[in-house]
Amino acid sequence: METDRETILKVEDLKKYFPVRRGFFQKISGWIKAVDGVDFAIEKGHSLGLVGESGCGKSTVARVILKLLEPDGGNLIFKGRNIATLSPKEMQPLRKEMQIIFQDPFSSLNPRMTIGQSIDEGLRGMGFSKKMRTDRRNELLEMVGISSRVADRYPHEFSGGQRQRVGVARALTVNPSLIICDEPVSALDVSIQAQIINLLKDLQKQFDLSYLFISHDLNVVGYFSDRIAVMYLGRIMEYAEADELFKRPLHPYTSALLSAVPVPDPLRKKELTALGGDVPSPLDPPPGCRFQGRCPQVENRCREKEIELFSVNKGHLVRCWKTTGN
Amino acid sequence: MEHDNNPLLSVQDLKVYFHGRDDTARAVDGVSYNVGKGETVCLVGESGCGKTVSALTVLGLVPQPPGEIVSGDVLFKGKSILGLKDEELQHIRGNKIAMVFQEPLTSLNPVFTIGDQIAEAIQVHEDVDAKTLIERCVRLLRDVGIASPEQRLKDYPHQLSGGQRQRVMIAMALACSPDLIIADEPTTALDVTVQAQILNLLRTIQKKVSMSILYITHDLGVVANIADKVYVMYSGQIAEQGNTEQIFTQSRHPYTRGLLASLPGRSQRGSRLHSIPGTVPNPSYKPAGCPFHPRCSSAMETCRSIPPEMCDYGNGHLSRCPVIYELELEEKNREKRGN
Repeated sequence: METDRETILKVEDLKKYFPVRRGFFQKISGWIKAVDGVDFAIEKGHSLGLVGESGCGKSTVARVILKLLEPDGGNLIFKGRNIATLSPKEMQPLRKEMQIIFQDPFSSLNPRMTIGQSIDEGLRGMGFSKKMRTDRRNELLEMVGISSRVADRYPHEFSGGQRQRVGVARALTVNPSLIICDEPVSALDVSIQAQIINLLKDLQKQFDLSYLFISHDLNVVGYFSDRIAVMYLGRIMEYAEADELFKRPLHPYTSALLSAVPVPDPLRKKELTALGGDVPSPLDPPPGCRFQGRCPQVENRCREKEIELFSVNKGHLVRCWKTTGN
Repeated sequence: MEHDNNPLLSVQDLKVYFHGRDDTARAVDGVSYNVGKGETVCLVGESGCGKTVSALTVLGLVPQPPGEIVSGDVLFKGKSILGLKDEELQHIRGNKIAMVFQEPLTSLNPVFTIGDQIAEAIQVHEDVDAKTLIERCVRLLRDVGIASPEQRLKDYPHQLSGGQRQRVMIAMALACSPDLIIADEPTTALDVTVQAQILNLLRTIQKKVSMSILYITHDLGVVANIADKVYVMYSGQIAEQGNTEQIFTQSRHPYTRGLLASLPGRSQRGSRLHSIPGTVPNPSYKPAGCPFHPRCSSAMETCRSIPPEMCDYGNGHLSRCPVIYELELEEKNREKRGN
């Protein structure tokens, strides 16, 4: 049973605010609530998909979990220990448990280092001898499908897909248990996308890895994840098993996202349902439900008060008044 | 089909090479396509397959040197526009054929208001007084669905969201009611919900004014939704062409089949995604024979040496793969004999 699996990361009421400064003295004039009370959990060996439009705060969540940014509130319970309040020094030994794969393989590798050196960098802190490091480096490269003979080449000599493979190899150097994939395939061509997705899946099986998979592409997330959290303006709007979410989307925002995805099948050609408007500024979100301005089913109560995430079904949480049944 | 006899835009056996210091990149290597009146034609392919260069050539936007148009012709309304001088091209660019680019933030000028920029697009081609100019700008912005256009005219590009900027780009393209819009990945940088808005917008405008669209994209989902005709490009050549149904349900080229199979979706959950091994060949060092053969699972000995010809499946469906064509012929013959 999935519920018996060990929870590797539990995020509780996570908050991250960025100050907006104005004027000569750079006085704080407001706060951008990029992440405003986010809860989810990732089980060992599972993948959680985090979807949302640009600016909804999904990448900020990733950076806060890695403590590249300090959280402004909430708990991050990693393997039973709250890491939200740890100092950088206390974090150090935990760093190798969590790794990240970035979106853009062109800018995430140092152009002045060979790919071998890039991978070696991660191995250095682990007390290996030079020989062991080289062996491990070659092993990692072969694991992600790159010949170890090209370890002394520079990133510009590789294609986008190969560079992303190097990114994956770098993340694996320290034997992490959680890997955060921040849009890992959105910069890649379709035929290469499938290669990288298969690679990530294979590695997951092999090492029992957990993934937080961040993407705006619902097709990719739907294929990849076990559970999916839909984010809008710093909040989780819906959280459910992947199958359940695709079959029975309950939040109007999730339905809108799903129906806006063009299906590669001309026989099912449809008028794409487009949401009106754009994502509003997180600088001052509307009172009440954050989606009210674009929601096709908005009611008066949505403008007055925001509802908490509400469990409709076993493990299916929704933040919408409609689903409460009254 | 009637419009095929007299297409609005016809690109014929176009070859565009880029000369580097040591090598020559054959970006477009013998490409032919037609866009009929009122049609939406999609050029699909991965990055580096030459889809953008083949469209830029139409408008004379390929810098020469380093580019060189080696051979071929571009006919617009039956007249060649490839050899035209810049002044002559100016009558066509923006006026008869307009372009919408991928990244609206870099294609709009940050120091002018969007009103100025739309007005400029009109003034280049027409002599209009200030009052009608403003009226036309407002009407254009309203047509592309921008709220309170009178105020928005005074905004600078940075004050608009990505979707609004792309709407402004479309308004500029529509400014002189062109016969053809070339849209180069216009929704790639946008969120899905905004992409849906823009696609719907293009469709409504097209219905209203019967304009042709040449749509360049790598997203097969978008293609299935908007295209009448599809050209699948690989390594500077057309690999397969046909109407949308032929390409998506009866594809005959291993590359098209591979692309369609590698799309992730709910249905494939739990199973491995089909993936095409290897990478797109470097345009300077293309493999001999069929450019796809190193990645192709149906490749035969002949594919390594003989460049493949287009095979005709009827009704405008062509595929550059003789291997699959012959396999199907054999099967048909066997069936006949069996009967």
